[in-house]
This record gives sequence, structure tokens and C-alpha cells, in this order.
Amino acid sequence: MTITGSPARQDIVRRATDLVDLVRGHAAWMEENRALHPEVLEAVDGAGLLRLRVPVRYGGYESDMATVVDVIAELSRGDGSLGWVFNAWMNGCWLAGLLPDEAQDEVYGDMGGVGIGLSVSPTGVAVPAAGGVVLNGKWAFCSGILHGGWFAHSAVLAHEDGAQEPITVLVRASELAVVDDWHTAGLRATGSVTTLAEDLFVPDERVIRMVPLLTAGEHRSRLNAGSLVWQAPFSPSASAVGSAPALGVARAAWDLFFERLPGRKVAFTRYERQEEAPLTHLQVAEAAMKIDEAAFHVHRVAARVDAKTLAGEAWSTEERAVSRMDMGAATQLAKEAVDVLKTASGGSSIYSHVPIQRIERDVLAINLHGVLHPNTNLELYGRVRCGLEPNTDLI
Amino acid sequence: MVPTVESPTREQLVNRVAELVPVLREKAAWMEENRRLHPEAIDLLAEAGLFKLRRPKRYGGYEVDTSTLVDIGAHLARADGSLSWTIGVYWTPTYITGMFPDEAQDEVFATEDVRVCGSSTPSVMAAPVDGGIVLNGPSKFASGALHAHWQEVAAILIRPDAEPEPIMALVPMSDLELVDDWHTSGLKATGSITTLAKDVFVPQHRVIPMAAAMIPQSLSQANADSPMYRTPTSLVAAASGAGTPIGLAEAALEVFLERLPDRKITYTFYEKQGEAPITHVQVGTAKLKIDAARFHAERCAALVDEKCRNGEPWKLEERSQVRVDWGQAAKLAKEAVDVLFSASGGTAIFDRKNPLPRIVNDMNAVNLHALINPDTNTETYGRVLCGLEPNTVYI
Repeated sequence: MTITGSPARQDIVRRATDLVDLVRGHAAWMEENRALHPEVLEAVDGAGLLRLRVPVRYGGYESDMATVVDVIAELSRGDGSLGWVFNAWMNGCWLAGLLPDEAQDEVYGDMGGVGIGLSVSPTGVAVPAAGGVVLNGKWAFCSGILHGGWFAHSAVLAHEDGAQEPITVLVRASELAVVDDWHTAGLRATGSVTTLAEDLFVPDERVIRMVPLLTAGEHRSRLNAGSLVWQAPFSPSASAVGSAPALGVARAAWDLFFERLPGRKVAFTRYERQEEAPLTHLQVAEAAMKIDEAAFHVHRVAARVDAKTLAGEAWSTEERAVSRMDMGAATQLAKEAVDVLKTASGGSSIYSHVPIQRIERDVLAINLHGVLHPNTNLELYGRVRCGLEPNTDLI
Repeated sequence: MVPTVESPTREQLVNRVAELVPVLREKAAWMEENRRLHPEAIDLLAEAGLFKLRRPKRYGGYEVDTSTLVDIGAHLARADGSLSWTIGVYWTPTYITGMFPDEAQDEVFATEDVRVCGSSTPSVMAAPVDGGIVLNGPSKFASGALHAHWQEVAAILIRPDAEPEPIMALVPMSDLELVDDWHTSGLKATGSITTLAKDVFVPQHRVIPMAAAMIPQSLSQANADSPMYRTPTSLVAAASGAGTPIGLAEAALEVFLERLPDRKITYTFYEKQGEAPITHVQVGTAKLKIDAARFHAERCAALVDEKCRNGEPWKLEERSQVRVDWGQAAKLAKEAVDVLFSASGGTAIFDRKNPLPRIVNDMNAVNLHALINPDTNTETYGRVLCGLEPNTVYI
């Protein structure tokens, strides 16, 4: 899926790779301040990475999914929180492309790159009003809200006849109240605070009805209807995007383990050099296998999205379930790899200035996300293979 | 000499084997009971061209790549593990035969669909005599000996004033005694008995140094330019054998899902096992492990094939990665089978009514082969990643 005029995949991914050292230099500050560093955000924007899921007519790249997951993984290798926020933005930015074209002018504007986060749980209620809806609600876990101009919130539209339907609304970050409750064990620099909407009017052109989208891929953009990026279904696309942060975090653990290895002994044993201990060899190879397997799942789910979209094929329930499972498997394998490497990193690795301890906390936090959770995704796939209906709409 | 024939495509070969699976599966119980392959199975596979896959083209062979072998090996194992194992074993000594002097190849490949078995542990003693060597001693684990025309005997050449040297010698089966000691817990139908050499004379052109097969340095003039013969033999063996555990695990999943609709969970209130969430997690877990196992099998074959095509030298890390891929494929496939067998209830142990016990036993046996052993391969790979020398020559 190559878009004329867009940079090649290797070029874009290399731009992300080039940012890793800069990002790592700010990681401690970001965790301390529970926010991304302005220089990091400038560098990401300056490298054009916020354009990946922006329509070409607004200066975007409309990159394929294989590119998107590699960029997310590289940014996550720099810092887990950055990768996580970026992953959320990739989804939010895509959702904005489903709006009517005139609404996209307002959201994408002339920014070129834009950060749009999203909430998944519909903890807001919208009621119809003249020309739109009025929104009230409270959403936890608003990754990206601190640094993005817009946010895509999940809500329930309560019709006057009592019927309810799930919607997503695009709102300006400045229209929401922020509750600074982001004191967490991991992914601290995401600043995923709680937000509130109070009698907030949202015009009809910024409302997405989710049932037609999830079941039939229906959306209101005329100009994006011909784009492969927006022909891809939501859940498999989000599965590909969501599979990538944990992979990058595990690769960071790999990098940092080998940085520390040369000077290390195995304490209270006769091993003078940790790299000569057979146990280290098992640990290192086991971690390598898990990371490579995580990458296999990330690339498989991305390739499936790209290939099926290109071919214009319909998605079976099993393919959708496998996509969710790929995300869960990548996330779990990355966690297991980090656990092996962290276990092999010794008591000195628990000091706050040693990055691998942050990496461990980040990958544990990622594994607890309700959509990524490996157990939930395994069960979902197994239900489908056993002939049952999926027990979720997010598929 | 047979003229070069047009080789069937990979797809044609794989489809032929896939179509044979049901009829081959019916012979599995007989084969296990009789500790040998069924003669009709051998005939069917000969007809399908499976003994030509690694035969040089100038003798009418196909010289297929190892990715094809993975696919075919997996399908054969869906039918029966011993069948896949034995056929896979033939592929490697047949390949090594192509490294012998051309005179020896003329003799061996004079037989259409010739089957060459082998051994890799040099447990036979070789003494120099006029015009060749004399062999004495046993070769254990000679998979395929019962249906082979030749054996590649691994031996140690003892000479005055020289270090003992490992060699390979091509011996007609009629020159060897067969010791029926193949009473085992798994891979029973491979008939991997011990063969015994008693004062067997082997002319010099049918002897090569084992190093020639490992490095590799073909002593064949005619095959010198064939891309197939540019790869260290233990890596070729890895790619040739990696399909077996995959197919065994896939068979286990097939059987599990076939049995599922009629099963309850005994002594619980679950009327249908397929409705229990634990079953869904088990099925999802098994499928993930199978997919990851296949990833490793396909990765090692793809690397072998790529190197064969472009003739690039092998890096140590790549060589150890091929070995670890083989081990990891076997390990993950074994874990998948364990999950499925554990979920199959007490009735699953009736080994005349369902193939799961045979699959379990075969898988356990596969994982104990010294070249496959996941722990050994993982340690070797980790040694190399930590910058140490591998502790094996089989790489």
C-alpha cells in the first residue's frame, strides 16, 4: 500500500529510530513530571511522525499499517509512555478521518500532524440537541489529552424514545476539564488523567455512530472513502496499533541489558563475568525468542490489515479474533521477555536511575489494559474457535 | 543417467501430500503396532515424489528448497509423526550424498526413489585398507533403516600417525546387520533400530570427512554449482526437520476440535466443554503456540533458502539462530500438545480410539533428540549472543 508522494517505510521508521537517544535522555524527567517533554514532542512532530494517519490532502502520509507499527515500536523503544501516547494518537487520528469532510478541515486543519487521543469506555452520555448533541461525562485513562489538541471520547447517545447507541465524539481538549489523578505504577509519563465534560455541545459533524462503523465499516467521509487507510476495519486496525508498544518496550530492555552486561558479575557466586554463566545464555536466548515471537505477532496482524484491505476482502470473525489475539500475544510475550531480562539484571537494577526498572513497570501496565489483556484476547479467540459468538463488540 | 525433468511446483507438491493425509492417517495405528512404516505409505509417498525432493536434478530430482520441506513435513506429521520423522530423515542423508564424489553418487542414485538413512554420532570404527576402509561397530537410532537402500554411516577413522577423524561412509543396507532394539515410548513407527557393521569394506570414493558435510565442502564436481549444497548440513537438517513438530501439534488441535462437540466436563455442571471459558483460553493458548512454532520453523527455512540463493557467508549468530529456531519450534509445539491433551479428559488415554496419546508420545520423543533439545539450543544461542564460542560443531 504505497501512497504517491509519501516517504518510504524505511525512511519513516528510520526517523523514529533516530529519535530514540533523545527520548531516552528525557525519560527520567518525563516520569518524574508525569508528562511528555516538550522537546520530545517537538522532535516527534518535526520528524513528521504525527502525519502517519492524516489524509494526504492535509499533508499527511496515509502510511500503511506495517509502517505504523514499526514507528510505534521504535518510539516505545525510546520510552514506553511516549510509545503508548503515540499509539493512542494513531487510533484517534484515524477516527477523525471518518468524520464528514468539512469537519476534518477543522480537526486536521493546516497542522499537518495532530495528536488525537481516544477513550474506549463509554462513560459519557450524549443527548440530542439542535444541530448536534450535548455531552456530559467523566472518562478515566485519557492518554494523550495533555499534549493533543483534540480528543475522541466514547459515549452513549440517549435517544428521546429511550433507545441508546454507542458513539464517538471529537472534542477539543480545551473544552474538557482535567482531574489530575494520574499517579500510577507504570506508564507515568503518559499523563493519562481523567477528563470531564459538562453540558458540552458537540456539532453533529463531529459525532461518529459506532454500530454502523464496527459492523459495516460505514462512515461519513466522502474523500477518505477511497483511501486504503480508512477502508480497513476499526478493531483489527486498533489491534495492530495496540500490539506495537509492548514490543518496543521489550526491545529497550534488551538494549539496556546488554549495555549493563559487560561489567557485571553474578553476585555471591564464583562467576566473575555474568556473560560466561550458562544461565545467562539461557536467559538471553529465551528473551530473544520471546521478543522475536512478539515481533512476529505484531507484523502478522499489521500485514493482515494491509493485505486484506488492499485485496478488498471481507473479514471473518475468526480473522478478527486472531487479530485481537495477535495483540494480546505480542503484549504478553514482551512482558515475559522483560521479566527474564529484569530477573537477570540483579539487585542493582531496582534503583530509580536504572531505566530497566521503569521499563518493567511500563510493560506490566500495558499488559493490564482491558483491550490488550492477553487473557481476555485468548478467551475471545478460543470462544470463536469453539463455535461460540464473541463476547465483545470490539472485534 | 536420467535427464533433468521439470520439477513440480511447491504448491503442487504440498497439495499432493495434503491430499494424502486422510489415507496415511489410517495407517498410523498399524505402523505404531508394527514399529515400522507401512509399505503402502512408502509407495504413495514415492508416487508423490517425496524421495526426489532432495535428489540432485541431474538424476531426475527436484532440489526443492527447505521452506517446501517444512510445509511437507508438517502435513506428513498431521498424518503421523513417525512417518514425517522418517521421511524428513531421508532428506538430509540424501542431501549429504550430493557432497560425495560423483562416482559414489552414480551408484546411489542409480536406484529410482533411492532412500538413504544416516547417523550423526560417529560410533563406528573405521580402519584404512587398500582402496578404502573397513567398518566395525553399531549405529544407534538409524531412523529409516528398515526401508532404506543405503546408510550414511558416521565413523571414526583411526590411522597410525594421525588424529582420529570423523568420517561419513556410504554403505548398502545389505552389508549391514539390523539389530531390532526399537522398543520405545515414542516415534515407534520410525523403526530407528541399531545397524551393525562387521568388517564392512567401503571403497574410498564412498568415504568423505564429516567436516566436508558440516562446513560444507562438496567433493562433487557436478553439484559444485548447485545452490542447495552451500549450507552447513546441521542447518539443512534443522530446516528439514522443523515441520514435524508443527504438524503433530496441528493434528492435536484438529483432533481436539473434532472431539469437542460431544464432550462435557465431567463432575462439573458444564454440559458442553466448548462453552467453558477455560476451554477458550486453552484453545487460544494452543493455537498461539502452534502459530509461534510455525513462525520459528518458517524463519529457519527461509534463512537457509536465502543463503542458498545468494551464496552469502553464514554469520555465527545466524547459524545458532537456525538451531534455536528448530528447538523453539519443537518446544512450543510440545507445549501446545500438552495444553490440548490436558484439556482432553480421561477418555483421551484410550490409545486405540484416538490418536492423541501417540501424538503426545511422538512429540516428547522429538523434543529429546540431541540436535533439537530446546535447552541445548537455547544455551548455544545465548552463548553466541553473549559473545562466546558455540560449544558444538553441529552448527
